[in-house]
Amino acid sequence: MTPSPEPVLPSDAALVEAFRAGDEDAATDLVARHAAPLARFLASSGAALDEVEDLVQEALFRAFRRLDTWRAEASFRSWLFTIGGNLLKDEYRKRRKRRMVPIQDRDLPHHDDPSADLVAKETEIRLQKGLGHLPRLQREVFLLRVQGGIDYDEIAATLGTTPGAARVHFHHAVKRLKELVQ
Amino acid sequence: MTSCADLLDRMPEVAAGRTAWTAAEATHLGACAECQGDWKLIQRARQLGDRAEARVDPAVLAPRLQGRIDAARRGDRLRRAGWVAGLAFAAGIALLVWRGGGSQRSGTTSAPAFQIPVAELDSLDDRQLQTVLEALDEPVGSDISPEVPTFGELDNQQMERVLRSLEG
Repeated sequence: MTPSPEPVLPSDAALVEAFRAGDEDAATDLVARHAAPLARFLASSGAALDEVEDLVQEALFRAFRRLDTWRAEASFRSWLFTIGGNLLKDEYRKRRKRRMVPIQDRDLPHHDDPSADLVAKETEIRLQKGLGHLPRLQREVFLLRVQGGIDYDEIAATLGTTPGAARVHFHHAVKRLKELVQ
Repeated sequence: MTSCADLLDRMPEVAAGRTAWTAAEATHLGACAECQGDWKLIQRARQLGDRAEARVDPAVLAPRLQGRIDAARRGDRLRRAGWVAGLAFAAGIALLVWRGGGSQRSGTTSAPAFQIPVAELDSLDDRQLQTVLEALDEPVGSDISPEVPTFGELDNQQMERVLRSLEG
């Protein structure tokens, strides 16, 4: 028996066009596709875990309200991440100080070994701080690549650089983070 | 042969579960301490996002978002309607002003329309009505005594001035 071919998912551009034409299901599909990576990106960028959901909603809301400004040459996801990143910066400005992620006990994976929990917590805090110390382009490329799963071509289009330069930034970011975390 | 740089490029995809190591990559990773350090870092970074991802439920988020978008659109429509109404009102006022000014400029100011208060006439008795009708029969302005002097009453100087004004 021949396996049935996998259904071809509509592209982001097609979903955006459908949403503009009044198809509300298209918005649901876009949310299902991008909300989780956006949450990853925001948390890794320094958003507190208990604020992630609100920030994701606000970023998506702003994106849907400004769909006319999306240039299809950049991927929808990276454009969304840019909006999310700007939103986070606005939040920081409002508070006048950068707030690091408060990692709470309930956020940590449950282990029987308390010392393992402590090590994991410390590692995550160091990683979070390390990300904060990276140069802007290195940090953005790293987050887009690791949390967004975006390839170098799309990252380059989003950040106004070349795929080769994006790759170099990613490699430098990994090297630097390793030094900071260890 | 797999290089460390190529392996690092593939790590985000493998960590996200979108693909798996090839046999050659797995062999390289097993033998290279540098790559093992990179791999550990990428996995930790992914874990940082895992808890955030768990906090977002698209099935709950999508209807909330749609509600906000609908409300914002309704607000937009109301604001637009307000603007249109305001503009229409302003245009109406401008038209009234323009028409008033235009008729004055053209010098065709019409005399106010003569209006008979019909309802009030109904309440008059015959005598009163007759009086009103007689008043209407008189030529307009006949009750005003003209104070303009005739040419015969002008002295020489005044007559000279009138003639000059007539000649331009």
